[in-house]
Amino acid sequence: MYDLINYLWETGLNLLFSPEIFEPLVFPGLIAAFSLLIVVIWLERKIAAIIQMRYGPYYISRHTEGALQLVADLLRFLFSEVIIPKSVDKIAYVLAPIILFAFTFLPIVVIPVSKDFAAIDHEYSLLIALALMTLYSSFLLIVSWASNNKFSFIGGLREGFLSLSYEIPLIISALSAAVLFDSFNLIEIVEKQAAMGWGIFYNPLAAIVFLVVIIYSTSRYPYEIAEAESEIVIGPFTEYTGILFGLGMGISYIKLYSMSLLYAVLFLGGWEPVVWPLNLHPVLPGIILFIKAFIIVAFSVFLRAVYPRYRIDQALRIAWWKLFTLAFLSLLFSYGIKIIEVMG
Amino acid sequence: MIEFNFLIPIEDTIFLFSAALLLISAVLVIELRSHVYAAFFLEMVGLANAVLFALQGLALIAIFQLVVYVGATVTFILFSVLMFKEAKPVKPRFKLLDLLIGAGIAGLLAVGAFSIYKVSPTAGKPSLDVTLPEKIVSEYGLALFLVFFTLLTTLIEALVLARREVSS
Repeated sequence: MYDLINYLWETGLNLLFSPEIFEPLVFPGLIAAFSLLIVVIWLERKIAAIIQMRYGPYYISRHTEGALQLVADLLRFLFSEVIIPKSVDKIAYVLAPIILFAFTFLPIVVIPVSKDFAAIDHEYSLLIALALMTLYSSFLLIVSWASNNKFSFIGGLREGFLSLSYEIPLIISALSAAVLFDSFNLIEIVEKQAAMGWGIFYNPLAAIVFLVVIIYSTSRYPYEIAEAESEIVIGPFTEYTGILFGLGMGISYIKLYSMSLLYAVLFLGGWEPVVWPLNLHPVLPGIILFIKAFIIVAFSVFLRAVYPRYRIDQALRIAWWKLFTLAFLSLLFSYGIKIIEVMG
Repeated sequence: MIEFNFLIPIEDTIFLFSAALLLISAVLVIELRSHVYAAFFLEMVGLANAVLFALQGLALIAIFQLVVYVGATVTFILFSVLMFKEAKPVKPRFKLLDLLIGAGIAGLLAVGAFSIYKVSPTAGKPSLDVTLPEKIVSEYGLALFLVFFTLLTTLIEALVLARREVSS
């Protein structure tokens, strides 16, 4: 009996700490993402409040500057009634945000946290992550259609327009990093950065384009167009209540988190430098990666306090004329560096 | 990394699930009257296809399946459906003719499938050279990008022309 319990305990622990389970569920997956969500939304509100000379979140846990406000909000979302309006398409209305959340979360599974700890270590892991990121907009269109509400509908269409314009610069700027480091494998890209130097210094153009696309595609200011509160309530999620609204609110932050992780891997040296005590376990270098991703997330939410919102035509013009051209130039720049390397 | 021992190999389970999802979704794409639901199930067809390609070791084809068919095409379809009013479904007139054509195609497929099964001892394995997509990406990366770029500019041209037609 004791042996059986011991065996089950050891097998359970091994299973939990295997990269295939630990990465998606714990770190940098679900638990880390939810913790970041709570901190980042509080940070966003607090930074905006400080800049606009307000208190911001204050009443829940006053001694910690309202840090538990988001926990209280989350509990409220969990226990408040989910109201399904009569005019909506019920199946799509309930299922679409859940499926959208799952697919938004999926690219995190491909992103390694160290060279020995990856749920999926594939030679095309960069392309897999990018491919999974392209699924977001189609499900968001279904969410906006299901609500049968003009604000949701306009928000969905705006997201559709934007997604057509940002996906190409996103893919081209990521490919620039792949050309620079001669690999589609994210672990190899980080290893090469450890030897050569960070990608942001080799190809700053690609790094800038990718960063702008992160802000653009996750509805952060000045590109907060699909969810523009003062124009279309909250876009595709206008009709949602309770936990479904909570999910909808978190989706763009989860996307921001996954794209920031990818950015840190491609341009900021990933989990490097691995110094003591981070070399004690293969999952620990992930802390460095998480901190880098957190800085990008914090920077993206900080923009809310300092920028106004672009109109959709302005945003589209920026994406098609400027981002697309710069992304293309960044790719040529990477090829130029490779040619110089070969000739040198 | 720990080894998982399942009663049925995990690849077989994923294959069965994906194949079932593919078949059911493909039928629903045709049968459903709502264009949005049909587009959703087309997305499921693309996803299941991508998983089947990945199981065959054709990772690049699976990725392109996701990007082109699921990420781009379905988004375009949904976008168009939302922009315009849903058209009323047209009732088929020649049911007998449809049946005959359907039966003919099914017969041809069955003959093809049986002949492959009889002739080739490696039936069930991919006939496509698995290394081909890898070779294209690794040796002809720039050419591949230029082809994509040309296709993209054509797409933008088409969009501009379509807009002009609407505005005129």
